[in-house]
Amino acid sequence: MNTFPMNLDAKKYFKEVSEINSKLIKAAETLTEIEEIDVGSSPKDFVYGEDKLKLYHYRPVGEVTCKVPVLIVYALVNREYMLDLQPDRSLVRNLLQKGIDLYIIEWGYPTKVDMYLSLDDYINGYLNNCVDFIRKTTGNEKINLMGICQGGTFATIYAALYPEKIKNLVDLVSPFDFSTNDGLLFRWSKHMNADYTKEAYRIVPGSFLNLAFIQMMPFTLNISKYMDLLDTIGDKEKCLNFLRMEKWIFDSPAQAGTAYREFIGECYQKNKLIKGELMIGDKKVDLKNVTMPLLNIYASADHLVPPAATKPLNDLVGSTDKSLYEFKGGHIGVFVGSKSQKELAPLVAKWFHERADGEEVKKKQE
Amino acid sequence: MEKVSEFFVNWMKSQQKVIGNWTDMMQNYRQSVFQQSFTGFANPKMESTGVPDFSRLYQSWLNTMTGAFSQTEAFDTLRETASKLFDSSNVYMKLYEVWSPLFQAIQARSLDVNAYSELLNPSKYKEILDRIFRFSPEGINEVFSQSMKLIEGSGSAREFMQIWTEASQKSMQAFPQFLEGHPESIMSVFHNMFTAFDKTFGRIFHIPPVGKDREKVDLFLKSSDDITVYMTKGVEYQYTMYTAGQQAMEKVIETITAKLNEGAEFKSVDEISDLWLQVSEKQYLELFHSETFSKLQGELLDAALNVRSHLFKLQELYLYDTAIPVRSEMDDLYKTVYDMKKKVKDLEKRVEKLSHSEVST
Repeated sequence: MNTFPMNLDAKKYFKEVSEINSKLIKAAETLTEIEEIDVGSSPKDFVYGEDKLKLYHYRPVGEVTCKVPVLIVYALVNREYMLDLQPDRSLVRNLLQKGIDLYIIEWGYPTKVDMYLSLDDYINGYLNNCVDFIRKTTGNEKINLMGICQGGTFATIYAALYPEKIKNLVDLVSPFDFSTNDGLLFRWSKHMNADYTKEAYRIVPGSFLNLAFIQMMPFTLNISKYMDLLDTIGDKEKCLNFLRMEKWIFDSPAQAGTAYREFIGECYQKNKLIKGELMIGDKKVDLKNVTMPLLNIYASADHLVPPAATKPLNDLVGSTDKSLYEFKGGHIGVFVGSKSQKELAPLVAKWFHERADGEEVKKKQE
Repeated sequence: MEKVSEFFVNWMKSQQKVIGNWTDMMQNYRQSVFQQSFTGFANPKMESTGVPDFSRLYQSWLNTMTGAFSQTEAFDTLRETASKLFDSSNVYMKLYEVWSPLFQAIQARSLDVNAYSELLNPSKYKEILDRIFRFSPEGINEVFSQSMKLIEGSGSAREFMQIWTEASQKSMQAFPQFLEGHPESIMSVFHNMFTAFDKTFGRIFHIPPVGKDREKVDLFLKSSDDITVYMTKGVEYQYTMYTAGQQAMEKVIETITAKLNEGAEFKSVDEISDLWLQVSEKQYLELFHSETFSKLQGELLDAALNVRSHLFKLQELYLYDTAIPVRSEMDDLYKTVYDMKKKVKDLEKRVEKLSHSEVST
């Protein structure tokens, strides 16, 4: 009997193709049944606005037990609702349930009129105004900052410039040392001419950045991801989970050309932040001025912001109460992974609670 | 709900078309199973006898389905996701086309690493890589056609650009030849470029710039120069990417051959596709992490951005005498708005501070 080393023939292949067809038909049915892809489910109130920026205050869930409010500073890239993607995958909801009083900045979608916005405008302007608004309306002299990704870089720069306004600082998967080549973004950015990008675009389209993000895992993100979806497409809830993430990935605001040029040039290419040479407006950023308690969280398998870019911060700040925390997972897993909900949210909430009145610092100093 | 019903009308039409194709295919399939000693897989013989292969049927189905979705007014994410689902399936089918002769070689126990290049259809494989990396020769040609439209007034300029368009098209065809075992074919890319250069800039170097349109000519030359750099870098970039694709394919064949020699059995195309996806991603990531690639990518990006910037400037020059505000004028306006906003915000803060200090005194 003739046995083939490869058990494949046209009939088998035909069957495989038919199965894919059936799944695609099912996919079409499921997708058309979905009327809305809801994200950002936790209720919040618009409390302050400036140009395209909006500051929101989350409605508390139960009693607020942490005395000092927390302002979440998200990156300019992508949208902040990643932190509140859906009820069972929401860092925000978890923190609210643990008694944290939360505010979040929505940077908005820059248009050409915003092309001249600089890091000075974002940090000394918008961020500073939001901090002042919360300080004023809540009666707190100092508030807590929680920076996410590029937002963590901003939050840390802010804390270095205005230490008198910040009680505690938490950074999640944020880049500080840009000299590393561990991540492709870091390697590729060194060969980009940000001046040309600004000149050509004025405001850098989100799709331009997305191309780079997808290029980092071209086969997984262009093919495998969608073929894998076909296996679960019949399950509407799983499909919605996928779509929420998909919506987030491709909901990418454009970048104000000037701020983009500064961030790429000054940070990614010249690594000025950790060298103590970065100027934001007329202010020099000295990380030694970050003297408040610091919790710096990095993800061990982060391909966007590799640990090598995050970890050095703790050696550069002036804080005595500083912790470095390794989350076992990737960049996105920090916000939406089930481990994040069980492990990270309680950790952050506990950390803020312990330092709400500065007790932990006092203990350490003693 | 209207959107949904609209979708189903389109979908129904596509299904009718599919059923028609399906019926035809089934009749032909039955014939092909009896006529072919081994498979119904696509091969040149089948194409020549007019027997439709699965991939074409599948392609037809995908086209109609994608069309149905594109006609709905559904939400962007849904439409995009559907489109990507169909697109990924399409790549999967194209993989089948690429793998088809290899399957047959495996069945005939004649597969080895050296022989695969004769079995691989480079054009089909290139289509897969083009889809994954979104290479678009049409996009490059679009740049040319836009440039040509911009300089419509000048007949000689059109002729000038045409030479480059032809050179670009010829260069894009070099890759399949390269994979077919003619590494020297890539040299034709550079030959095409030099010939185009000689026929265009080469002549211009001997002509003194004249007339009131000198600024336009200068800018046009600059833009053409940018396009030359962009084209050259683009070809170099694509060549690098295709070469990595070829290396990945070689590794896949090596892996399959080794597994077959160990007595392993592949039970589905899925299994082989997964292997190809894993090996390819690894191969490309190795490339992406290299300094040479990063530099090349940066140069390509710079060149593309320069083309864009200079074309905008050319546009401005042509629109300058019209009543349409041009880019640099809008830039000035935006700068004024930006400066004024900043000033107003600063003044507001000062006023607030002053009013506080007045209250406290």
